[in-house]
Parts: sequence; C-alpha cells; structure tokens
Amino acid sequence: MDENDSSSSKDFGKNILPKMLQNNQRMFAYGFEGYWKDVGAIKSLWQANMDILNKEASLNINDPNWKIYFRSPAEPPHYVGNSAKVSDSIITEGCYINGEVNLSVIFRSVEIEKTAFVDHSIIMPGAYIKKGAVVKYAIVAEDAIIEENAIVGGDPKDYSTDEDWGIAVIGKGVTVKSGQVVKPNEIIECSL
Amino acid sequence: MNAMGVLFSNIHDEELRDLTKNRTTASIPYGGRYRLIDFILSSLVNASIFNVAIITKTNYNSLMDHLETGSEWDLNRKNGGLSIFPPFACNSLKTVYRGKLEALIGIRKFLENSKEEYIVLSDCNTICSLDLNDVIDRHIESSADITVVYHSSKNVCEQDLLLKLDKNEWAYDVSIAIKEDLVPSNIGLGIYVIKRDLLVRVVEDAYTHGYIDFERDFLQRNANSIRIYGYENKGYSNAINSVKDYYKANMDLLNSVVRKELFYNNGRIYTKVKDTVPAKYGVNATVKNSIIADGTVIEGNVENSIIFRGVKIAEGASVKNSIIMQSTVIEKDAQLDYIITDKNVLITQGHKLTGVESYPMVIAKDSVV
Repeated sequence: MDENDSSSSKDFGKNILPKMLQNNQRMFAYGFEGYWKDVGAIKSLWQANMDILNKEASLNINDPNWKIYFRSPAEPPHYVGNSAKVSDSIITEGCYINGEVNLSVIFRSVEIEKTAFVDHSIIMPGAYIKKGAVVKYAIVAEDAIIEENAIVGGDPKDYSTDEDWGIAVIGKGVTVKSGQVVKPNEIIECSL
Repeated sequence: MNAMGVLFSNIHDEELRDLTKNRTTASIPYGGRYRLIDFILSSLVNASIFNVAIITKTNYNSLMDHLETGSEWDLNRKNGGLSIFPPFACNSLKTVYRGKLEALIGIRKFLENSKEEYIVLSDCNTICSLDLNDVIDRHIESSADITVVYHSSKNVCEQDLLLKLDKNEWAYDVSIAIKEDLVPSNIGLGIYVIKRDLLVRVVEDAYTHGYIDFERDFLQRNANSIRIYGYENKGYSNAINSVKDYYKANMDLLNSVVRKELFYNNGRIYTKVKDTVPAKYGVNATVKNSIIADGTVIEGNVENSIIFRGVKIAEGASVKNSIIMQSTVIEKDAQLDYIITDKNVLITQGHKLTGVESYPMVIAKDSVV
C-alpha cells in the first residue's frame, strides 16, 4: 500500500504506522523495560559506550543468562605496564596499556604508551596512542595513530557553549601528527 | 603439509600433581586464557597439519570439554581433524599404558591407516610457538631418522632429555638427567618428527620386545644406530615439569619479547572462545605489570600477576606475584603474594596468604579460604 504512495518517505514511524492506524489495522504495543538506545549519531554512539561504564544506566553486558556473542580474534589477554593508571574503564584482549586511561572503552589490540592520557573516549581496534598524546571525549576509529604529544578533543567544562563542544572523531587509519591539535566536534577523515 | 600430529595429553601428570589432580597436563590453564595444549595444537594447524590424534590417560574430562569438536583450531573436519583416544580405545595390552611407546601400541592401527608421510610426536607440557614447517623441512633435507626439537638452556631438570650434538646438529649421545643441574645443555622439548612407516616399525618392535618408554627404549637404545638430528628452537620455549616451572612460565609473559615470540611471530595461538566481556576496572583499581584476561572485574590492587577470565578482585584487596585462575573471587582486603589459585577459589574478606618465589603456594580448585 505504502509502495504505491509516491509522497511517502518509506519510514516506519512517519508513514507506515500512521497509515495502518488510519486503516484500523490491529496494532498492539509491547512495553520494553530494559536498556535501549538508538545509536544514530556520533554523540549517541559515544553515550551508548559510556553507558557500559555507568552503573545507573541499567545496561549489563555481563549477564551470564543473556550472553552477547561476537567474533573473537585470537589475541592474548591484555598487558598493563608499570607506568599505567587505569580506572573506571573496560579493556579487552590484545591491548598494551602503559599510559593513563580513565572512563574509557578500549577495544582489542590497542596500544597506549607511557605518559599518554585517554579520558572519556572510545578507542577502536588496532589504534595506537603514542607518548604524551592526550585524547579526551573522542572516538578514535580502527588503526588510527595518534602521534606523540598530539591533542584530540577536549573536556566540555572547558567550553562555554554547546556549539563549541562535541565529540572529536578520528577516522579509520588516520594518523594525527605529532603535536597536532584536533578540536572538539572535529571529524578528521584523512591524515594531514 | 604431508604430516600428522600425535599428542600425549598426560605425560608429566606426575610431576605437576597439584595442578593435575582433576585434569590432564594438556588442560592445565596458562597465561590468562589458554590451556597448555593450545600451543602445540596451534603450532600444528599453523603449519597446515590437520590430522591430529590425542592419546589421553586419566582425568580427560577437562580436556574433552576444552577441545569440543576442535572447531577453534579448525580441526572439525571430515578428512583428518581431531581424533581423541581414551586409554582403552584399542588396547591389546588390557592395561593402562605406562609410557609413550606403549601408548602408541594402542593406536598402531590408526597410525598404519593414516596417509601422511611424516608424524609430529609431542607431549603437551611445552610452551612455545614453533614453525613446524621449518622443522619438517629440515628433517627431510637432513634425511634424519628422527628430529628432536631442543632448546639450549642451563637449567636442567630431573628427567630432562639431554642431547650431545656435533657441529652439524647430529646427536652422538642421548641421556636423561638424574637431577637438577646448572650446566649449559641441549634439552629436548618432547617434540619429534619421524617418518610414519618408521614409527610403525618402532611400535611393532616395542610390542614384541616389551618396550615402554619412547626416550629410553627407542632414542637412547638406538642412539648409535639411527640418525638423530637436533633442531634448535631459538624462540621462547619452556617445558613445564614442576609447579615452579609453571609459575615461571606464567611470569615470563610479563616480558614483551616473550609475548611477541609466543603470540605473534609464528602465527596465532588459538584456544576455546568464551564470548566474555572486556575486563572492567573500578574507580580505585591500581594495576601494574600484569596480564589481565577478559571478563575480570578489578576494583583492588594487582601487581606482577596473571589474572584469568572471570576473576573478581574486590576493593582493598591486593594481589601480587600471583596467578589467579578462572572465576576466582578475592574479597575485600584479602592479600595474596606468590599464590596460585586454581579455578573457582574463594578467598574471603581480609585473609592474607603468602608463598615464596621458589615455592609458590597452590590453592586447590573450588577451595574456600
């Protein structure tokens, strides 16, 4: 029916459900009470990851009766070095962590060197954060390299308005050069 | 590769008593997420050897549970794949075997009916990532009767196989160490390459003469009549013959060179996947120089330790120089130093346990302290 309507944008919420309602079709509601999040934007992807760390967010990924299955790389357990300081974060296999990690989600095979600082960020598989780099409120995609002393993102409390601040994003395979500054809200899609 | 593997899961059970009470040597947990057998199994499949027989003896439930269908090692196959032989599978001796030669007599028909030209024989107590293609190539080039994989070390343990080699790596003397010693030696790693039809003849001869022990009754007895070639494994290797060795081999993983040699240089090490979530660090966690597996929850202090999957370390608890196996729970303010906790141990609040480096204390599986 919707197929023949050329003015329809073919959207469930906008077109199909209202049309069914109009036609008095039998529609039932099912009340879902668990955690849910529509991850359709950078901010909500970041928020959904932060929710894993938030005890009040009612998202439990470690429920033995409701396992979440995924593809497993054959990586050894992660190593945390003598200079590391890790708090309130999750870290998985294949990582080498020797810097400071706070309130962050670290995917597999990530390397974070001594004196690097990662805060409120999501670091995806294979990313490499070198000495002295600072990554705050950011999403660093697969295999990206943040060179020594580079700065990515910033803390919202250092910015007065919402327009100035947002999650910084470093794209897949991008290298952020030594000393380079990536501002909050910036999305870097290719290496400079 | 035109070769198959034959593994002995229970050789060395005796020496590792504390850890093999309920399991085979092959299924001793190691390095946060592995079992000892994972290393040789991965080395075999990384060399495209996909016909693997495992001869078990006692306590093999944990091993069966670990291996399942062999799919984690790509060994769930119609041709070849994994064949597990319980001790009485086809045993004309009507007793449990006493040594590797006797164990091989039990699978004589399987060996005869296999198609591969070469066999890799191995115990399961050696941790190394070995390029078996290179070992087999060198075996063929040298036209040796048998190739013995060895490493050079000055730490000799009781019962180690010692090789004296000439400058071309041919063994002219094979001996078995009577006691611990500190002399530079070529120590066999329990890994051999031999032609399948030769092994079948050796096994037949063992049956007719009542030979039991592979090293003594075959290698040593024939040291002057067969060509024994030594292949040196130059990467990391550690043959585990005691709780002390086991402790050291785990602690070796804190060295980045060892991790690289084991986990990356010769292909990956595969193990049973459990779909566990990443490790979670609490607000006040402090972790230094440690290996941390997935599924752990760390709220306390961890230093120089190996933490397996699903371990929980509460706030105020301190774990130093220790190996904490799967699903151990360490409650608030407990303190562990030089301790090995087996699986599912519970250390209750405030308790303090201390071992020493040369004799780490083992807390048995499912214990409550």
